[in-house]
Amino acid sequence: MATEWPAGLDVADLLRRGWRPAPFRQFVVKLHGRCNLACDYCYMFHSTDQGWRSRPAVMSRAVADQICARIAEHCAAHDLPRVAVVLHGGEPLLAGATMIGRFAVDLRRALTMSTAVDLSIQTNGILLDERMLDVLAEAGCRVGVSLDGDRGGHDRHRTRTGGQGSYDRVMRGIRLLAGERYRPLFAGLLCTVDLANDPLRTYEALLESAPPLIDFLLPHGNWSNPPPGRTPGAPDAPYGSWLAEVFDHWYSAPRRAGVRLFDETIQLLLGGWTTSEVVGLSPYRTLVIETDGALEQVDTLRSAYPDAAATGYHISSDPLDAALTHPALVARQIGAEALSAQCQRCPLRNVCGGGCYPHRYQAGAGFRNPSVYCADLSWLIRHIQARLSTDLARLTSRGAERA
Amino acid sequence: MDPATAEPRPELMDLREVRLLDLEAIKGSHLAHSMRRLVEEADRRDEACARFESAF
Repeated sequence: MATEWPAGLDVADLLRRGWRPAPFRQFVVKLHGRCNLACDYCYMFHSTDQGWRSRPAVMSRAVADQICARIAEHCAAHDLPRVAVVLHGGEPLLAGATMIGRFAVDLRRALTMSTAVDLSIQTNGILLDERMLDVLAEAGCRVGVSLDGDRGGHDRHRTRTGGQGSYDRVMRGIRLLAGERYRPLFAGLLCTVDLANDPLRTYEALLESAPPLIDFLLPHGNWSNPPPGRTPGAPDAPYGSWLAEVFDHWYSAPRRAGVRLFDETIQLLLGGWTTSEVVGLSPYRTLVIETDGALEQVDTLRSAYPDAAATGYHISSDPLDAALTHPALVARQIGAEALSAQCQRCPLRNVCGGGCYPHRYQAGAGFRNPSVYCADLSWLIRHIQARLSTDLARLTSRGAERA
Repeated sequence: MDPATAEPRPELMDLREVRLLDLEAIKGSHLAHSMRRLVEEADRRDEACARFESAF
């Protein structure tokens, strides 16, 4: 792997030229490293990276304490007014209400009054019940749930270990979360796109619980291990047209829910800013901390090759700042410099940003390639651009008439 | 034009133009939401710049 970009990235030269890393502002904490579902597309358990097998299932109290102290140290060193901590897994609710509640208390105690923390949890929803939600409410922890649309779409991949679908259990949790009592905790739904599912039926099913935010996730894949239905380099755009159909439906209706990919693309097309990992060129400022205390990059890199997310740093021996100059993390913070020559020349460069980083991987070359979803992203961005252009022309002409 | 690529920039509007639009006319739409967010973020950045400059 030594020849694969960004292994040769000259961080010292970047620093000499005046580049400086942006401090982390999101920490993904793996309280529990196992799962109570057996989703067939899971990058954690069903990819070539089987590192989870050698890690403890549950984070120890000692590691959790060190995490709180290290995050506090990082916030103080960089004078950060606000950070986000996302409890993740595996399935983080398997850690249990007591451990989650205790971690939240310890974290808030460790951070000084000068740093606010947005605490959230990303769950499959199976263990969401009133007791758990009471603890999460007490902890000030918002809840995102993975749901792939309607029953058919969801149960195609998101199954229990015995093969039976999880839809009914998940919906029971979502209905509780979306009800009046717990609604302020509801952060949104995460849906992995499957071309076999009807886009509008999927979107309408997601809207049923009135989530404040919907995240559509493209299935993880790359040039060497393509996603389902995506031929690398082919000009067709099956995922782009699937998402464009949802976009038209969403955009034509009054605002009921945000769709992160669409909102962020519109921001960028309007010349604005985003912190998205999926589009744009903003520095990516997330650090993952495993159940054993290892400091890692985003989990989705596991879909590229074994240990792709590793940094070699550990919470017990290294301040979080150490990871800021790791070449793989630096590559996520240098904007257009990390892009392939093809992306550099692309007129959509600043909006697309090369797409989700793991999707750029090609064995032997590394991550300096266009996204394997290049045609899809281009299709979707141009589609959104066309809709916006029409509306903006109408708006500006109306303004000119009034003037 | 984007000087790095000599291509038309994908951004569709100048922020100064956005500030002049009547967002009431598209109230409740996704576009109005996006434009409001754009202006708020620009204001936040302007304030941060002003704070930074006044510190030196």
